[in-house]
Amino acid sequence: MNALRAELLKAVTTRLLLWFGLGLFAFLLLVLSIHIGSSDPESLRELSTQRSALAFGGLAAVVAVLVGSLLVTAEYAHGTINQSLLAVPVRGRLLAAKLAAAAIVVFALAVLADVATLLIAELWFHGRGLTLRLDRETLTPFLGAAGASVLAAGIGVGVGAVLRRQTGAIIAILLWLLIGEGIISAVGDAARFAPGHALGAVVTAHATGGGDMLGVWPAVVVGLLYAAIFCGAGFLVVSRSDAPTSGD
Amino acid sequence: MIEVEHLTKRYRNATAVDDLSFSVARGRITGFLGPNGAGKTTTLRVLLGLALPTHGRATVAGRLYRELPAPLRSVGAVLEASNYHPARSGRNHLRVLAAADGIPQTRIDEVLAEVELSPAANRRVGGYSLGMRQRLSVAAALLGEPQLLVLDEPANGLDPEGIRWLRNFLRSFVDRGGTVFISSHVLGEMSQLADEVVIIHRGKLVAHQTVAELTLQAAGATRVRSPRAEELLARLRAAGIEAESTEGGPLAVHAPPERVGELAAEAGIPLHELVAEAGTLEEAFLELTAEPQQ
Repeated sequence: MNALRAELLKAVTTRLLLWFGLGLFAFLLLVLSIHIGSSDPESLRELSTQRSALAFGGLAAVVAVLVGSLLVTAEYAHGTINQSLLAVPVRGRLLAAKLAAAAIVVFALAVLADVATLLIAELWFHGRGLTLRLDRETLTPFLGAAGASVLAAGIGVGVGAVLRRQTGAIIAILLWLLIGEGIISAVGDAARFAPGHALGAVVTAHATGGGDMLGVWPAVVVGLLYAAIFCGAGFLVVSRSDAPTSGD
Repeated sequence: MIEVEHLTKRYRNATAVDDLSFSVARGRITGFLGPNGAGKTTTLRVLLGLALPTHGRATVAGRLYRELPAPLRSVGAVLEASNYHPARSGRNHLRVLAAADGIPQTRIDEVLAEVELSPAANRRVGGYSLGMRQRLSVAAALLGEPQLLVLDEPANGLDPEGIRWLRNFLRSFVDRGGTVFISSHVLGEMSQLADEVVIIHRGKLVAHQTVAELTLQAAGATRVRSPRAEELLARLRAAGIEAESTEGGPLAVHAPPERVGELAAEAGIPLHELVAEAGTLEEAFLELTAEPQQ
């Protein structure tokens, strides 16, 4: 618990989360405004359109994977990993604490993103004289966004531990999300097992899936597998390598 | 308190530490000396679990660092002064460390006051001077009230007043029963501070002695006064001993006092003064770490 408390303190004693939170809010405002503002009223009355609008809160998962990786790589970038390992010298325990802290932090971030999504959508619908249905069907993506964010944070922590370089990890994650997932989509059916698609399926939370999307529970299992594989690899890398130094 | 046993640390193309063994006694200040690249920092990092040894081990009170139940309460370490997140305040940095080892948060103000950093505690570390960051490192090391301090070049960045503060602090820490293992390049400082020194060169142990023993062995001259100084000088030179005379002053003889005394006695030359003048720690260090002539 002490290690987890320290990791949570690390996360909230810099402005990292504040900037990510503000950035996420601005992005949600933009994409929801475009999505709802440009759709015709008939379409907006449909349940599927309302559900897909509320699923934009799942963008928190993109931020979550970055936050997860930064909780590890920022320590290497600033050399604070040395102090962290002096306080928590068992590397597996340190990584586990980072994983738990990342999960808690991004869960909170996802809840805020869900609340922001709901507020922005409600304001747009109200402004256009429409009613936003708030029931189990439309609100399910909110749970999906929180779940996908936690899984994404796990993947991010693992990727960060494997790469340990801040810029490299961010570039690798963004390249994968922007290009890698697209290439896999073009190649064939396997795309639904790609991490981005799997997390997307967790966000949309359809029971059975369809097209290039898995159903929600298979997608959760795939997301957990990715998190386990990356964290396992990260544990091996961190356990078998020296903390960085500029000394002799 | 510290045991380093047959420690070897190899990197891809270089051996940083080579079968190094020594121990650090409890309740003393032990200096850890060596030229740049000798392997001091690597040894300290292996001791603290930050680097993995290739062979051998380094322990604190018989345990590997990672086996210590509450490491910050057992060992306080001062490493590079750059190991800080620039956006985090000094106080928050200490809060994180205290939380990690279950140290009461009240201890933070105590250590900040002890290193005289309280006024800057809420400022971002990115705005600290090197000396302030070094003081913050010392504060972090003291957080858990450990009995052992391991310090890697702690005087770096400290002004003369800061260095004097550090010296007095370490001495009082040892007087209260603590143990200090400190690496430094500042040999003059170390000769005033350390009780004994471990000197390594190219990753190997070259000396482990008290400062007094080491400086006595260094290339100090023997000062000799005699009413028949000229005659003694000639005798010494005839015996192949290097010696210089100063007008009306003592002879400076590059030989142990025992040898000078024996030669004078054999020749029946009276001596009024025969004093071994110890070399400095710097002289001893340079002798021990001198590269062989090509």
